[in-house]
Amino acid sequence: MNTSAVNALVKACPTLTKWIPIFISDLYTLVRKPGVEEVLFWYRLPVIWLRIVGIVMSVDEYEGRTNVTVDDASGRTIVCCIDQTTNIPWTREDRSSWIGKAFRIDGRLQCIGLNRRFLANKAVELEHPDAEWRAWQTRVRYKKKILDRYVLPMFQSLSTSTHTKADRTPFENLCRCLLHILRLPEYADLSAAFTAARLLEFIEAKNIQLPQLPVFNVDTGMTEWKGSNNTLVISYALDALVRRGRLVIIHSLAYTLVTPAHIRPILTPFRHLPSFDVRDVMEALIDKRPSFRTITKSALVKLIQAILQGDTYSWQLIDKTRWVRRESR
Amino acid sequence: MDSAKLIFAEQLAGCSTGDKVRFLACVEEYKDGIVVVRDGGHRIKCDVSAVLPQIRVYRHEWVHCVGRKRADDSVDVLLFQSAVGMDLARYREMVVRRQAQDAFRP
Repeated sequence: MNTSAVNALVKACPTLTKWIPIFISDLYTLVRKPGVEEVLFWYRLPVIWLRIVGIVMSVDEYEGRTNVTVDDASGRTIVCCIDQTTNIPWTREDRSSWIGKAFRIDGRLQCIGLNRRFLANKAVELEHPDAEWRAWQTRVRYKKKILDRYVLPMFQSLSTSTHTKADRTPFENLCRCLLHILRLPEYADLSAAFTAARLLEFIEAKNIQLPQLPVFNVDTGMTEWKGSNNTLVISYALDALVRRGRLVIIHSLAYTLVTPAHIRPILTPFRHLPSFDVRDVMEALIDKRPSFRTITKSALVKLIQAILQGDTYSWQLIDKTRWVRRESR
Repeated sequence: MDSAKLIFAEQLAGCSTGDKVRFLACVEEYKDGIVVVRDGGHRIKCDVSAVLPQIRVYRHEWVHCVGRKRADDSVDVLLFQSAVGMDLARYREMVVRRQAQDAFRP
């Protein structure tokens, strides 16, 4: 590849040649595309070089390498593999003293099957007492910058011609659009329970244009296309999402998004069984959280499938309702 | 290995038994392997017997505690690190922002 092509690529993908500050839980959301080995994709941006910060929880020594488990309290931990040839100044006596200390580790992510490992190039101890929360601040700000600059603009100007598929109805497109908005990290600032009015306020504050809907004007007898930025239309869309099991109503007019985090604690006892049925999980879920009684079986199946993808065992879905455990991954 | 949840001391009651938690608090008293830490009006008993050989406990020192919650709302400490010199207000602000960002993780 010649210099101008490389410069064009670097200009188009600024994340390719930079150290990306990232939380450990986000490492598990990086996507690998078939045929592309070194590069991973974060919110569709290509990344290679990653920088994590966390506390060393354990050190395991093997021949030729040391595995260090790092935790940054983001929900996941990662094993960092430090090769003996890596330029990290440490001695055999120092390794156990790493436990409990905060480190900044630079390297890249290796995906082997469903397992992820961080191959460390460099590790620096964060000695200053404020260094750790400052590193968190960098990561929170960087993620917000990525989302504001690259992800949110996708929703800024939605029209039926550019961001919707021809085979979906306009109302379906609106429902999908609302689901995307509810999953944005910015929305987490509002609350786990939202009303249609609150959601509309957020949409207007972010200047998002929702897909237009055909409205029949009884006076003129004509169908007109109108914007769906109003509470009544959004309420209809939210109710449709409740019927599809993507949202639940927790009290009177407040909705909450159904996420794997709600299902995971319910699913944990079932993962130790050789097989389980979605109906049993649904019963246990409704027992613990009565407001989830509106969730559909198909929505629950999708959520359970997403959770089991990262499981230690390999699970097979039979008849779309029953999981049978195969063997360890 | 599971990850610790970053919380404030008052949020410990909302966590389940066995959850790994991480919080910042001030050492109030220490006796027989039990450290009582306080953050605002909330006191937590921390059993440091597992890490006693590696730590030093000083009264009125701010510390990071990582441990597992027990059924009686006390914590079995796994890590006990000094946070002396840290900007507590900015740290709290970052914990709030992180909790907000983690709230809707898909």
